Amino acid sequence: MTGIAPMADAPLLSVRDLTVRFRSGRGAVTAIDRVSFDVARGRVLGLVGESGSGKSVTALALMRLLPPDLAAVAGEVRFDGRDLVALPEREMRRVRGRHVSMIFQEPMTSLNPIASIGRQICEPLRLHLGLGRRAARERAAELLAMVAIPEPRRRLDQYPHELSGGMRQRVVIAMAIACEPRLVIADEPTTALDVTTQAQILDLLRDLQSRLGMAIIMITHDLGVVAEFADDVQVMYAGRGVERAGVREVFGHPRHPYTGGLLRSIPDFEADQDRLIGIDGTVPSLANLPPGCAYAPRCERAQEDCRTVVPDLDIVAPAHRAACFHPLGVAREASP
Amino acid sequence: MSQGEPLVVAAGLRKTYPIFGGTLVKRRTGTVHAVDDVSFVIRRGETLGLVGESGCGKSTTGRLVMRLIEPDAGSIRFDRVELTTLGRRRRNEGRRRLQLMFQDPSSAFNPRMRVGRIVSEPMRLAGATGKAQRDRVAELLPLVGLAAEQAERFPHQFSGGQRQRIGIARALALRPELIVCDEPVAALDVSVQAQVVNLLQDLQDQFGLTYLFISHDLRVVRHISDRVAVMYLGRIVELAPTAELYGSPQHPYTRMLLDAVPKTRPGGARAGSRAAGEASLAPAAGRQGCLFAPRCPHVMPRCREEVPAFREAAPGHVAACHLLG
Repeated sequence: MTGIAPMADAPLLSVRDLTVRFRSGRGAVTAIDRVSFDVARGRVLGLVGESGSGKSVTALALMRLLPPDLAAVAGEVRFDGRDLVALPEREMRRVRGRHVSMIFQEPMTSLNPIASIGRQICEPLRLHLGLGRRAARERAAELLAMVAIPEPRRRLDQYPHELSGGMRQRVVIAMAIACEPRLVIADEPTTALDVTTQAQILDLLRDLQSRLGMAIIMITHDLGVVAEFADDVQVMYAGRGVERAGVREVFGHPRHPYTGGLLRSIPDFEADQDRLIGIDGTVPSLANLPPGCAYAPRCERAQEDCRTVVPDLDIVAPAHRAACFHPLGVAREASP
Repeated sequence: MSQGEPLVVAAGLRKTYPIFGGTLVKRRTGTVHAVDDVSFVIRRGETLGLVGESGCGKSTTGRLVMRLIEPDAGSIRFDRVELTTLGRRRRNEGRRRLQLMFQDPSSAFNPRMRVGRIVSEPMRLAGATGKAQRDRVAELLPLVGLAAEQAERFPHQFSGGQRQRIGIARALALRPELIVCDEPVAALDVSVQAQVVNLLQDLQDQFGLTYLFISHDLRVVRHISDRVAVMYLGRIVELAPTAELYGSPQHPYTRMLLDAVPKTRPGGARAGSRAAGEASLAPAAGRQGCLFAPRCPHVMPRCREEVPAFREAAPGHVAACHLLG
């Protein structure tokens, strides 16, 4: 064990004003702008947004996986009391894979095509837990059994290309949970999979989460995955957090017009609709954000203030935050 | 709308691809049955949804209908003309009545061509005059929600949703009757996807278009289709009017597929059978009996021996499952 002392009441992960600026040929681009959220021990936070919303950059920044010569990271990422942003790289390496691990969308990006499955699962076990060769192999077989891979012992000697996409993602999950981390960051873990395989992987993750008591940040563009899987939700838009609340709150009473629009855009699975109600316009380019609220140009509720001032992610209802001057529901009650 | 006359009649379509193996000498070691005895009708003015998971043969079916690939067996009639035996010239003439739309239209755009030229290219190939092309582009761009002036711009100046609109404009250039839409909204963000789906429906109403709508997205297919066919490992396993298929699915695979779609109402417990196993196109798996049998929760000995025939569960609702017999 390393010297990270658990603190009973504090959240496991506390992100404050996390900002990432990328240097590019045409000046700096702010990919995420003062993003804040907490992840409680053993809970699932859904980080949801469309392309360019900054959800994947957030994950990479948390893990300190952004190239330092291209990305300037500011803000605070408190994990069990320690600020990961300020941690020396040598210590960060001890956190990565041991206390915080990551699952990516495409399993082949995290698997080495020319190393056997066994070798890849054993690596973190030997590196972080100091297990010997035989003990690591034993544990690796147990892990494959935990992620419901049939014939785990035989699989240890197979290579990634011999497995199906769903099986590969199970191997990646086995690697991610190998050291029983307290936080797993899953970036679109089921997006590349078919829907029946997705259902199996989500079931597996939920089962592992309750057995191991780990917290999960589930990054996805799929609101259905969030609704089924997350306890809490943060909605991102153009690099900013725009809404945060419990999952039932967000889906039942969305406050930010963007969240409302997003939910309306999904074709209903139970009722017939004549027409879908999309959101007009497109996500703005990060290099060219409008002043004020980034959603204002697409928002039917936008007023003058929205076009000049960036709204903070403030409390609009109990345990419910939205970065909006004219939130849904709330404003309607105020002016009937 | 569903009373329309048959525009496309596909019967017994079959398409196989060889698998080669061996270390020194490449030899044919097996066969993939991409499309295996597929039959369906698309009526004029309707949208037939074609759903299934990757590798089920839905895109191959779309390409067979377009005659971009030749079937090994079976026939496709388009407006009562048999396409599979048509000579090249007649086929090319006929082809303007059928158009194809892809998931990522910009992969088919020349990045150095202006949008006007991209949209009018099918007309140019068909021998239209420059003026006719320009006039048609000025007509098409507003139709798909773009400004006529945008004809002078290049593809990279547009967002993903706008590029899909350009793809739609080009597909419409020759006034086709049938458009095969292969995952047309899969690459789009959900807020933009709704705009494109609405546009496709508006154009259908306006021009009486017929769509073969190929998608893995069961929500979008439910919304846009009049009837839906479900494919599994190269075969259609169920075909029904949309409300029927989603309301009372008969084939265990259809049920598994529908149950696997995450619901957007939190806390709603997922009902019914949970997905298990995965589809395998491996030739070793064998093609006797029902291909879903290895994953089916209701499998009977008969399922492993005898290919189930289509049985009618309700008017216009057929499923290939022994449970129905």
